[in-house]
Amino acid sequence: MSEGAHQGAGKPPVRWLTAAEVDSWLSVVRLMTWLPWSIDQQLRRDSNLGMVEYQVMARLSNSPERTLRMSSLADLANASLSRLSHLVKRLEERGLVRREPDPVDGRFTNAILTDEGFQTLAAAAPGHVAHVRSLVIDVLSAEQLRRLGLAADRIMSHIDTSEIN
Amino acid sequence: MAIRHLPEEGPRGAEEPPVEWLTAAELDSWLSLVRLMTWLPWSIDQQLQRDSNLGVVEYQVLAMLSNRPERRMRMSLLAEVTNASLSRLSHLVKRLEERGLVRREPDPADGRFTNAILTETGFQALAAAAPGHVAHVRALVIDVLSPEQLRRLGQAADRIMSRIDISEIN
Repeated sequence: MSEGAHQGAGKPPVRWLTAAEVDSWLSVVRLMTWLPWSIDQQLRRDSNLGMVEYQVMARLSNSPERTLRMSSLADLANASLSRLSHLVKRLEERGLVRREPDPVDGRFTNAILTDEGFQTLAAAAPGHVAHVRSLVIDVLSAEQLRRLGLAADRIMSHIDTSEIN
Repeated sequence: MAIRHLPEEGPRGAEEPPVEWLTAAELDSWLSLVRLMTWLPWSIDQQLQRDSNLGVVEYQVLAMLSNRPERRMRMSLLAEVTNASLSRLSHLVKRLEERGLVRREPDPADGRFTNAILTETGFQALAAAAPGHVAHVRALVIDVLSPEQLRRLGQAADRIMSRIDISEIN
């Protein structure tokens, strides 16, 4: 694209990516396109759960009383609260999660992992973990994995997630 | 996350091999990657939608076409590269077609296939979108890592990609 793009006279010159930068960036793009898809595939096929559904249930399972405010789940869904509500509603219809007003402050809604949800998560976890191992964890050295996580964190710290909605 | 806590509580068949749960360090790195996969595409999409009225996959399609001889590509190949089912891609390309950015026609070499072709308008739209997109990618990714860190990130991504079986699509 770089050669063909036109530049306005008054604008600062565009710092196009070098060939090496393009290569690395396209590798990241491929990863972001395919890794979530593959994780999702395995979960749907073996456990009838989407990746975000799994993440929501996993976080609930790890919270006191398996309960969290809906708003503290929104970062997982990368979604407005309304999109998250749809997702949680589907989990609720399957009996995996229930929602109720926060007893401390009724303006907030809590999501609670049910026993059935916990069992579903427990049944899904071994296959999910094995898949994550085979695609990611076991193909990198401990040091490579650590660096990958650090690079991800560094990028994340530049993403303004406040714009959501 | 739950992964660590499940071994004691999760029901397990007696004959199944023991699950190799993630260590705390592995889990941290994995969740960092999950966060990235959740938010980076979203942020890229936001910028493109806001400034250029294009989604990230739309941009990808236009960019890929622009790099091809005669700016054309078979729909089936486009679907493969963008990880969209053919029917989802058809919808997307149809919307681009309605905006005059792309047109479709039967492959002259084999009429059973359909080609997508970048129009001049499409090329201009891409050229107008590219500087902002590149600046955003720089600000989030390229310029926050050293060249060595970026290279390693790309290599780790490639290594993971080599394990993903994309033949299952559709």
